[in-house]
Amino acid sequence: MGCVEQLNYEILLSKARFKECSTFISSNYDEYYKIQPGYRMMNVFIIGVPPIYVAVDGDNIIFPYTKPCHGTFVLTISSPEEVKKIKTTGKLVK
Amino acid sequence: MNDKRKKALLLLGCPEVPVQTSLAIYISDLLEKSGVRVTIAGNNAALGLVLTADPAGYYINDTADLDATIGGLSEKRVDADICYVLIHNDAGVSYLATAAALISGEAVGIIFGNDAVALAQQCDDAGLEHIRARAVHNPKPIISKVNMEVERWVASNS
Repeated sequence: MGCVEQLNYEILLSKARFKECSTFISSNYDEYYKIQPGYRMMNVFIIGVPPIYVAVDGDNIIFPYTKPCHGTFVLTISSPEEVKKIKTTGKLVK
Repeated sequence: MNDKRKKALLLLGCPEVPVQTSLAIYISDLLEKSGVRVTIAGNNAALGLVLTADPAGYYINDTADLDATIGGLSEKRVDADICYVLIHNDAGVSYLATAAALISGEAVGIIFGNDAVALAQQCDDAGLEHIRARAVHNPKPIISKVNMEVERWVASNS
């Protein structure tokens, strides 16, 4: 089990409520998917209140990441593998 | 030897609200006395506070890293008959929703702190079971509700 710190991520929204992160993703991206809590992305497990949205923008994947003391962040990582995986396993919303 | 006892999981949030550590030890003791095996999961700081408050290990038998526990639940290597999630911020509601989706047993939020009412509403909106009281430094407002909740669960599972 790893930590998000080991990934080369960029923060798009920080220390927000989970719902604000869901709205950020659904409002700013043309392609996004619904996943179940506990979905594994690289070496981290995504938590949240369903529906949990993960967006795709080219080779970038955009997802919510919650820390117990700091709230939820929206992160983006370049990962063609994860983009391919979400297109197969996620439920397309838009 | 196979441990046939029911399994309980306590998920701790950020330890910034003082009552959390006392609540964790109190709930663990209640459940253990009822014959339930308890694992307390949290981040390093939350577990450090709990373990420091019980140096001889009278009340705490098993602890686990929070992220590793979520991974274990997700991959079905970890499960529980009851999961109590200690909540005092928005992140706590996310952990409760995740536990509720992943465990085979019940998941119940124990909401405390200054934002207890708003967080309880978030849980209601998401259909998540919970108890709540506005306890920050003094655990008394939530203890009777904890007693009733644990008694309810133990009675319905014995």
